[in-house]
Amino acid sequence: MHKKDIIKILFYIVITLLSLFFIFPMLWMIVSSFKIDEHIYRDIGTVFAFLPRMEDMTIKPYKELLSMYNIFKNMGNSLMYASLTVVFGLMVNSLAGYALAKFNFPFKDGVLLLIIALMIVPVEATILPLYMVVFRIKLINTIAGYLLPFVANVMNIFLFRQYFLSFPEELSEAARIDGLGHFKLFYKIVFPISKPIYVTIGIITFLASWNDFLWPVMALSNSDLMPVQVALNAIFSDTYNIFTSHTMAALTLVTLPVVVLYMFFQRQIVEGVARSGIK
Amino acid sequence: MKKIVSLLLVFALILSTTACGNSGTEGTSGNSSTKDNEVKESIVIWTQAAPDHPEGKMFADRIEAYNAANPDAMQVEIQNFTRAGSGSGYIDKLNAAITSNQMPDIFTLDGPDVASYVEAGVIRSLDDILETGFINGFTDAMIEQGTVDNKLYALGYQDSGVVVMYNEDVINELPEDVKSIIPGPDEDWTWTEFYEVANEVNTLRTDPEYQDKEHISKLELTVDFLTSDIPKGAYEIAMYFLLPMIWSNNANVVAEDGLTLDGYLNSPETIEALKVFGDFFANDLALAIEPEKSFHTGKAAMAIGGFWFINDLTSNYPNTKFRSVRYPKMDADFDENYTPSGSWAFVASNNVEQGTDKAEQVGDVLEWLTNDEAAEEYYHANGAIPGRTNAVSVIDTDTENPYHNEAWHVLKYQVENTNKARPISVGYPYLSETFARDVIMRIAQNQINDTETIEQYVDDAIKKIKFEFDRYQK
Amino acid sequence: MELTKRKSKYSLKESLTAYIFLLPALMLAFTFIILPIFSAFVNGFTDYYLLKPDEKTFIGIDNFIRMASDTLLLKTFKNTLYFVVLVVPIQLGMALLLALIVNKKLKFNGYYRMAYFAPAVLSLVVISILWSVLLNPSSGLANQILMSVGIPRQKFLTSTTQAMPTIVVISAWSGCGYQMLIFLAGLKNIENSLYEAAEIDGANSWKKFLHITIPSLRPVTMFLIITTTIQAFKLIVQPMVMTGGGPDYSTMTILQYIYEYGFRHRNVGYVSAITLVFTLFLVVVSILIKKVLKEE
Repeated sequence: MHKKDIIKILFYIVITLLSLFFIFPMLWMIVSSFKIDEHIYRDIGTVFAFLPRMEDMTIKPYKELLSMYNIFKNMGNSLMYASLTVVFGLMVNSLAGYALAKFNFPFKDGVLLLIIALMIVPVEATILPLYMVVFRIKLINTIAGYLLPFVANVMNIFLFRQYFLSFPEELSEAARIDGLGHFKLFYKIVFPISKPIYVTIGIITFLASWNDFLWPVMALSNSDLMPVQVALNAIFSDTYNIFTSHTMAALTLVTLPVVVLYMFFQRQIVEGVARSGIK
Repeated sequence: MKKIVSLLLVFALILSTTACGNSGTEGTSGNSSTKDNEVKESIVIWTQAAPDHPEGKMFADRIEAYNAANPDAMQVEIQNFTRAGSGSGYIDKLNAAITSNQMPDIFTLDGPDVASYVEAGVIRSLDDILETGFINGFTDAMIEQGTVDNKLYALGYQDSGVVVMYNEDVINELPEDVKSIIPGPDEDWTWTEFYEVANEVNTLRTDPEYQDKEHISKLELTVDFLTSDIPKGAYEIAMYFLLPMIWSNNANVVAEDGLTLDGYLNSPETIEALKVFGDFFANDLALAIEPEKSFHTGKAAMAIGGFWFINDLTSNYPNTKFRSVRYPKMDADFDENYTPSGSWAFVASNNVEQGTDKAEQVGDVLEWLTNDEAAEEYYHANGAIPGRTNAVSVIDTDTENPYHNEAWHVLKYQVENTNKARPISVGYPYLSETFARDVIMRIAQNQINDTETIEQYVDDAIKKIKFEFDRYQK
Repeated sequence: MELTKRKSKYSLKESLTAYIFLLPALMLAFTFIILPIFSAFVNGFTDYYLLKPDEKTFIGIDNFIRMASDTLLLKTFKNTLYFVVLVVPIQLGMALLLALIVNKKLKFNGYYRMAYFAPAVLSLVVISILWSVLLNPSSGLANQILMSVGIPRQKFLTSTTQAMPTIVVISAWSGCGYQMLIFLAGLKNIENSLYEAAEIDGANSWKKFLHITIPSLRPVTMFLIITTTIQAFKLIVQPMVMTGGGPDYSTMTILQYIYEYGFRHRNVGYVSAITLVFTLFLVVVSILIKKVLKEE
């Protein structure tokens, strides 16, 4: 089995090199957040940008950053906003996607085409009219006004639809024969088995909400309600007191929750669900 | 079925509670609601500073002091928004307010933007609500920045400045006769002299005999013009840093009307200045895309140094010995204002009606926000350069760091005596951007220093801008 | 005589249920997506200037006529098309490859899953700074590596011919994490019993891949091709932040043009007209893609 082992080792080498290619900026960001500015720029373009000298490591940037800006408050806000968006979004969008995949009804093709068309229009073109709509229904500077516009997400609806298209009919058939209504079927059978896609779309939705900058600034005025990207941009634009090391520290802090969440949930995607039990 | 319906009900319930429970005050000029829904008129101010930022805090403090000192007048509320990069975030908020007619009474604008807001009728002139003589307390540049068609519209709360910096260690390697070209802290010099010195440094940089000296071998370029910032979106750097070259050559890029370019952007004097700029790039003294913070890290020997360099240098790069000299002139005999200047300023919305009590108070608040006392406070809170002649002296040139002192000494002089505001033009953003991309970046990236090509670039730019500006000529 | 029952295509119960499922999404979408879009499109027929909202007047198709002679707009269209044609296959190819790798039972599986997804999590600011530094023509690491193996310095983002392809690579690299996740969910959906049956029939890995994996991924792939193409057409952040659309407008995309004209130069009317045409164009493209890939 010599040959098999060599191939295996080569394989691991290749995918590890590949992984370095993807992870090096994150590495750079984290490493730089523990250095002072002078060292960050001294090391740029050398290997020390990624593998720092131990004596250069310091938590000074974090201490200084946190003494100037309370970024945790904004992170808490973002956590709440993202969670709400994910929960309601998954509900609303999966129902819609399921309907488009599994049911036959008038104007079905029209609705589908509409969804694709809506996916295309760039948000830059519609953000001001959206503001006017939210303004007219008097929801500006409310959490509802901030979150509602992005709960229904056409991209996610489309993705759910594609997923449900390949959802095995036999399971649904079996359940229908047993007398299960559509809603019970969805809730008791389809949903539990589809956990991987829910988690995937949940992660994507969470990320989109976490990274949003423009809409929060427009929809909210109260600085206590601002999500983390807004705080981050305020930090970036403070050219007087904030230097690169602080920026790296801020970015690392802000990226951390997403990484943790991702690590926690991606097991759900990969491990899948044991289907043998259902049959 | 029941579960879905109940979920939807919960959804709706949460919706309604959050809708009621979380309305803060929106930027409506007029009414602030207190807990018992007592409607009291107030004055609303928006700024582009972030609330947690020292700048946001200094404004908040200043307004708090005003409210405390004037308990019987209308309460003033200030909201600090944040901006990303060149003002987006805040500017988008402002646009939304304009679109929905919910303008704040007082807000901030970047100096060069003022003209377009005036033309759109969004802001009102301030002459009728300010005390006579208040305006004279500002520096020439601040007055110029805020004046459109001979009426005052904006009051700057801070100014800015640019000097030329050089690395002492590198310059010390030069022969004495070259070193003596560099002026002292109180002298002027010309771009020809600047070029001469830079050229000598460049020779050293590429001289194999000097490569054992650390400061020389570290050098990757001689002069940092910060042109690498332009593609990243900071287009304004081009006009800000380089217009003074053109001004000091008895020329300008646009006429007084802010719209005529023919005879200005393509005048022989302008082309001459642009050629000198091009020389730096054509002869490898400068790079169009230089490394980040090249002067700070010793990779560049000289730089066009914005005042924001100083704090960064003194805080983070103690080993870089930065000397400062005045911004050079093209024409040695030029004696009018020309050094880079300008920053954000306070304006008042056109919704503030003339002759009302509110208008009068708005005037008071504006003065409070930009008077000598305010300027000094802002300097201490955020290092803001005062735009008031009486307040400039507050700039500290007596610290322990001699380099810091020298830099601020030079800046102080320029702010008080030679700063000049950028052109007042309704189409300023487009002009600035096209100048940056289609003229400056092209010269830098293609390393052009022959007059013919520069004229071609300039002519193309004029055609482009004219097409846009047609709209204003209607 | 035969009783001919009038066969309705739709069952009332099913249609009703479908619309109930769709209701929340439709309500929200109508209010917050369709309404604003409609308003934006209507603006395309006006001369709406951002600072003077009350003075907008109907100007018919003037904006559309202007578009036809706008050489810069045409250039951005070409740039964008060039980008799309390159990035979609590269990004999807990478995503599929990574998904296949991560789907296996590897040692340190968690690390690889994180590493490949890392760029998608990072702020574009960090990504842009780092790549700009890396690709700096004079001092960047990329050129230093190239020179050490004898290849001359490349201009990368400062060259009119290399800039866009460079952005293609960076975009594919930063975006493929998402598609990888989606491919992965699709892969997990394939029943193991299918593979087991194939193995019993003597199929090797390649055959299994070709005859089971690829077909099962069809719906997901269709989704990804359409959405990645649409997203590619909407490229804005990377060129705006890394090259400002240069050098010489070689990396300026349609959306960047829309953004700058709309927000910076405040010409909302013109920009809305461009958006309208852009949307129609992409709808046609999406329909074509679906037809070409023959959706079941």
